[in-house]
Amino acid sequence: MSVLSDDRQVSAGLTAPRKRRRQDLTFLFMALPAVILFFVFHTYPAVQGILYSFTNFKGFGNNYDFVGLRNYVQIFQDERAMAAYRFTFLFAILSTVLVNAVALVIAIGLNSNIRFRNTLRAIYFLPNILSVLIVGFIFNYLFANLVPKIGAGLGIASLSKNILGDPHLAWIGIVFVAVWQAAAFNIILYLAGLQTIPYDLYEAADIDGAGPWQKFRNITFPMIAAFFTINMVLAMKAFLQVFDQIVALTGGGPGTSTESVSFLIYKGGFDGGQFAYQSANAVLFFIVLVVVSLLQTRFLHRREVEA
Amino acid sequence: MKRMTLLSTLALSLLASSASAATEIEFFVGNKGVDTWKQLFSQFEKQNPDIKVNLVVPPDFVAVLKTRIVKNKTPDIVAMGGDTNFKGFAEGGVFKDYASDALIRKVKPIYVQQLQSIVGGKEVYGIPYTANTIGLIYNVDKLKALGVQPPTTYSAFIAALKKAKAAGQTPLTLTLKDAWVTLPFMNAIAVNTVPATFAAQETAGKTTFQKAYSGVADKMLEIASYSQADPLGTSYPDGTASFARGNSVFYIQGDWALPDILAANPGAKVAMVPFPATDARNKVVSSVDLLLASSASTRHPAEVAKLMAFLTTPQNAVTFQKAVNAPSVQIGTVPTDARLAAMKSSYASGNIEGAPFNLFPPGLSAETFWQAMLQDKNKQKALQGLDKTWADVLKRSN
Repeated sequence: MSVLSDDRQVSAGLTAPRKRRRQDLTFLFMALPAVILFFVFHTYPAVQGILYSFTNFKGFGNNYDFVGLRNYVQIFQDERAMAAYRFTFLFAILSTVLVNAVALVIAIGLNSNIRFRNTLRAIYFLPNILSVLIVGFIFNYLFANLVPKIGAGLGIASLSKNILGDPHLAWIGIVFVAVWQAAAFNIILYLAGLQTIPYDLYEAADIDGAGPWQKFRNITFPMIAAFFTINMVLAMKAFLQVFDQIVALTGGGPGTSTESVSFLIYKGGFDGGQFAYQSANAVLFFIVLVVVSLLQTRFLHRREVEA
Repeated sequence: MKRMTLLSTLALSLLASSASAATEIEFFVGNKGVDTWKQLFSQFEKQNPDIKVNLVVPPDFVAVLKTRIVKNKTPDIVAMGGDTNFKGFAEGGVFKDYASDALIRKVKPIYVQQLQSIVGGKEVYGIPYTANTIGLIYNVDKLKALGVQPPTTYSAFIAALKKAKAAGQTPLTLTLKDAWVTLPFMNAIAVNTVPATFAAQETAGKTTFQKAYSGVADKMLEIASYSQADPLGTSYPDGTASFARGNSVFYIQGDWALPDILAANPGAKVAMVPFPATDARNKVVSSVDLLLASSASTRHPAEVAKLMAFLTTPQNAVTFQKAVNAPSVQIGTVPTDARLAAMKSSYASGNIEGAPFNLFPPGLSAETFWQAMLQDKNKQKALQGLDKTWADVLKRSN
């Protein structure tokens, strides 16, 4: 299925529009497998979920009825769901800010002329290829056994017990693990951005006598504005869907103090027999995610234009 | 005449061909007693060469089973607990009703009633096979050193905890980082102080957690105040190992913790007594740990019935129960494990009852409320939350 688009094809009597149609078909066939896969494994189940969200389906059996918008109305009266939304947003905003600050600092360091630069880059990228669950279980052990010993040694009362067992501190443990793991990916994106900045800009700044902070503010940061946008959007989206870290660290506890929306949807839907109700929650959450991402992109893009 | 012989040879050859291809039955089970199942099945296949039993032991048993049921490919037989998952499947019409089956008459009525009350009707959607029990586990040597008898009343229990504390010991290990641990704790007390009709009454709006469970919450809080330093930071595996190594006098758990204790410390000398929840005679919580349910839509009902009959013969049932070290559910049996000796009289006299929690609606997540209460000591908040969530969950599912 090769398309020859050189002069010999034209001289062979193929008119231009027909040739284009052949090309179009080729591209269509190239895209088709991905479209079909996406539709079968993503679009179709999503539509099914949306349909179920208007019923009282348990997840199995055939005895369920259409209940209209009842599930949606009840989510807003469900204190546990509202608490999960609050926790998820606070967690995501904090983690996004932290992960971007950490990643940018490390990326600038890894972009400068230092020894073992490539080795260090590889080391900093390691957390990204580890499974979130495994990392979570390892940190779970550290928080339970190692951290309290260190805390007791230093005489810090709040650190001398397992912080995951305290509803006011458990979120710190989750933020720490999430940021530690997620920073690797954002470092890579920032590194890519930093390498697009022409070096002569810095040389000009040196001649004008600019200090490092001025260089960062007036050259580096504006030049990687597009990368900053994409990092903020991707990090926020990922952290709003936080799930694995919570499974591995607290299981939503103590009580329900660290339940994220994804975790609640999973737990209520599969353990609690509220398949349809949590499907409605999932649809609602999808809308929230889209709105947040769109707002972020618009707001940050405007910044890029100004820069 | 000729045609007759032809027909009979045809019939014979058909019979022969069906006999040579054995009927396959799928048997779905969690990770309990796998080797024993294998033994029993190989015996069964020897007696019935035309039936082959496929034992399936999936990881994350309930999730896999759910997906199979959603696809309408329910396994022929499922061995599972009499819990809220079972309640969901049974109400969804997945399992066969054994209420009028002869096999049910071999089982102690209390366990049959448990399965009936879980689903809330006369139907029995499985045959109880093994039970579990909850009690107060104690370190034999440490209790002896304190000069205290295993407590049989609530006041004696508190006195023992006080004495252990005064002697500089850790009286009790609690592993509250795992929320589910609060359920056996709650069950052991509630079975003695809350009427068995509570769940039905709560659904009808005639009672509340604030009324019925106030005393349970008080006792949980009082007992928990004698635990090790950081109960909410201790997970079940860590706490079990710590108790096994002799770091505390008492441990509140079900009999499923005994193998875990011995795994952490093979030399651990521990025993269990009925949970001293009140100063009167205390009932013991004993629920259906494994039941045998069969698919309502199985294609081989005759073979399934054969296997069910084989597994529930007294000899085979006892073989399995000894192997997994569980109290038997069959009439005329008592726990045989020496460490459960103190539980025998409760079983013999029928002073046992199912776990109150099994009657709670799925999706209530009672454990999260108890976990929060033991953390912030706010009894009112937990009880009000349970009442409100109970009503919400019912609203969502009808």
